[in-house]
Amino acid sequence: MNRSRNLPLLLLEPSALLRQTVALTAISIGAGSVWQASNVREAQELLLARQFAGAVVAVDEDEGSTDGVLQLIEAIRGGKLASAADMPVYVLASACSRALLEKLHPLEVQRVLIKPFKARLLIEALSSISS
Amino acid sequence: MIAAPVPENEVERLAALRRLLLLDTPPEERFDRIVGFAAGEFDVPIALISLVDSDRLWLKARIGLDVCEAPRSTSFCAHAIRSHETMIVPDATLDPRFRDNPLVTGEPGIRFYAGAPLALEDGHRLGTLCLLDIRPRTLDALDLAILGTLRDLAVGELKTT
Repeated sequence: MNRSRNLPLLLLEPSALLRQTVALTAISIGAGSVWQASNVREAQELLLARQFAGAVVAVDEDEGSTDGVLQLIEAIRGGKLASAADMPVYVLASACSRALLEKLHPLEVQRVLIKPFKARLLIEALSSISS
Repeated sequence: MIAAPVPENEVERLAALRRLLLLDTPPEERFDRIVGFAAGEFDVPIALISLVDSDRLWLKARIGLDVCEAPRSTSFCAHAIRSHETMIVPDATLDPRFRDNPLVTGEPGIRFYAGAPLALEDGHRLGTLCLLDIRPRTLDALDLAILGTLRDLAVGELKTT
């Protein structure tokens, strides 16, 4: 557990302004380093390359990103990436449908955060992972 | 009402402002998205990127205000650029600098102001990223950090002008 405290956090979120605000503010308040990915492919590359303490990943059913994100979480849980298979994963969702919840449940997602996503909410979520 | 003292480096500050070639230019999405984000993040009706010119406050980006400039003499931002720290006015009706300000006693009825100065690397503070509300309120440490980050992003955009 102590080992993961020094690891960065991963934020997968399409909005560049939200990502930057969260990552830069997290550094400024000493909440840790946040690596940014704007899409599933970028997130996968980061997760293959290095360990993370946890991840906050956005899914948008309207944008069709759900399957890719679910596969990414499956890969984490399957130990196929560099991070611990049981690392905390929070999901950001535009809406929390029953169908989405049923898909997330077996993936042991710790929290589901619903839009609107505020930087404050994400920073607090990331801080809770790193602490 | 207490008008803001003119900064000691006013001549150089105005020269730095003019060098940006931003005054009286059309709205730009890169600035608009920052004030839009700030208004949503802090749940305020008004968010601005202001530039303090010689006798006016000119708004490069604005949410919640129809005007693009206002007299410097009544502006909160003219006070905010006096310090490198974010200026917070929790309730303007209780602040001797602003309690009889026409923006407080009349429309839009400002009560709360938070302005993070837009400072260039040479130290000149040209304007602010600011939040205004018609309700008294304040910001906690995390709010201030987020506002500071948005200010830094706005300054980054100023530098790429």
